[in-house]
Amino acid sequence: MITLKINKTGHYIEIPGISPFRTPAAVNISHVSIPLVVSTLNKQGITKFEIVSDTKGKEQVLTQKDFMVSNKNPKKQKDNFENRFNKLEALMNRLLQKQVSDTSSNKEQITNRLNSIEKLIKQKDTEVIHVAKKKRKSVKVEEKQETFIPDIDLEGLSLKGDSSKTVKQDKSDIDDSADLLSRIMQSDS
Amino acid sequence: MNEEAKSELKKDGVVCIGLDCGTMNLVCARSDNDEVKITRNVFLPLDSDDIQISELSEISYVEGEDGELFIIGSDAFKYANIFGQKVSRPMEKGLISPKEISAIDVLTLMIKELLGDVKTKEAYCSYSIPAEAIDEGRSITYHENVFARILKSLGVNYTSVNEAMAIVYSECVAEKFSGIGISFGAGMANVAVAYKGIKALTFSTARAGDWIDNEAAASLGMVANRVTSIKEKYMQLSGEVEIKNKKTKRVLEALYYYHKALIDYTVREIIKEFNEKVDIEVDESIPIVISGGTSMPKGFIELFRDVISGYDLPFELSEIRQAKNPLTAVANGLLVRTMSDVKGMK
Repeated sequence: MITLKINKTGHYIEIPGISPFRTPAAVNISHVSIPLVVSTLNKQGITKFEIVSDTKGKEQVLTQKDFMVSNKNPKKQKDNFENRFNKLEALMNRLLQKQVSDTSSNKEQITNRLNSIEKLIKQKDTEVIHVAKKKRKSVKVEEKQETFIPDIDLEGLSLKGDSSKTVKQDKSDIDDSADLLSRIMQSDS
Repeated sequence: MNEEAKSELKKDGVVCIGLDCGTMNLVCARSDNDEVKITRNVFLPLDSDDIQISELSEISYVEGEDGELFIIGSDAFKYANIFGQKVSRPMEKGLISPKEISAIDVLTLMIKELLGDVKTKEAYCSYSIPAEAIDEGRSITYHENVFARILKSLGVNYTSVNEAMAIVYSECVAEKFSGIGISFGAGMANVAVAYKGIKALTFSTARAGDWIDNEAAASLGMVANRVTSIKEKYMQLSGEVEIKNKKTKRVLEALYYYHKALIDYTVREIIKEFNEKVDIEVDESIPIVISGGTSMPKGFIELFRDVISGYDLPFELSEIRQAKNPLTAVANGLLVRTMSDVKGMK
């Protein structure tokens, strides 16, 4: 059985499918859809309630928190936002066309619509700035990537033997050559 | 180097290095050592199942954690023949090979071995880079940065220096570093025109030793490796070659034609680039100094003189000569440059 329990006193509750009742109460709601019960309670401003299931193996207690709508899907929200914006834009076009024939009667309505569009545009601007900021941040990450070039890792490698051959050379002139080159380079600079 | 200079560097705990990063050879000259070290810039990757470690006692190899083996240096050629494989070359046409990017770790170990002990000293190194090629669109940026990263990882202070300029630093001291240095390597021919130590023009062409081998091999329907082997064993560009084998004679004939074509192409490019890009007034005669492994066959300099005599040059030429040691001239020139830079810092 599923029971709805409301402890707060003084409410008169009408849920479709159940006889109206006063609180505090514990009512059997087994034959009613739970989302319907919750939405009805929400409409009536009742937030403190418990829905208790004592069916064997399915015992659980649900409260208002368990039915809160989360905004975890920002993409969906963004889609809604886009849709709303598009709808309003379409409405505006329609109203402006209407305005030509019936300006005075729609004046108030148009003002309201314009206000809401203005609000939306402001919201949209903020969102654009937010996106731009995000983009700039990612560029910074790219700039930093140079420092993330992997180091040459010789850890697991070991060299055995000597593959080089040597050529004996008279290097007596090298120091003089370096001296001369150094002098020439310095005089040029 | 005189003893006084040597002890001065030792006292400072400073070691100067010249590192020639060539397609065929890596060559290293150090200020505290009279020996120049050379290693072949090749390796052969093998699986440890292919060979017993005991068989590798006489050779140089790199052992990886996951059982991978890399035979390095000239031994790689020998084992490549045994296993019927091709050697891997970290560089191609004078630059880091795009096919062997994974070989950078092996290359680092080869360079580490070549440089020797630098941990206890303050090491300064000039390493060679080619000039941008005029006949191929590859940039040298990646190549230059990879070698810089390798040297950095080994704790060495580094500067990149043009390979042909290094020849001028090494071989044109008497002319106060005025001259034209040409390095005929395996992957590229590099040219630098320098006047009193100042670089007036540098460029490279993608035609050098490998180009000769590939073209000769293509002309005769042979594998380039075989042509390289005959070239290194018998090639001379003057006098009679005492070879009885007809096929080998054909290879040498083809190689002669392509050596001549290479020299002709390079001389024409020098004239063209000099006319277009050299702004300074070179009022004295300057020498051409030729270096690099491809210039080593007997008769190369004579052939060069013969070819260049057919052209009007935009500069006065004093002489054409070969570097004292074509294999080590670049490394020595780089060492001169490093020591000069270090002296300038004091």
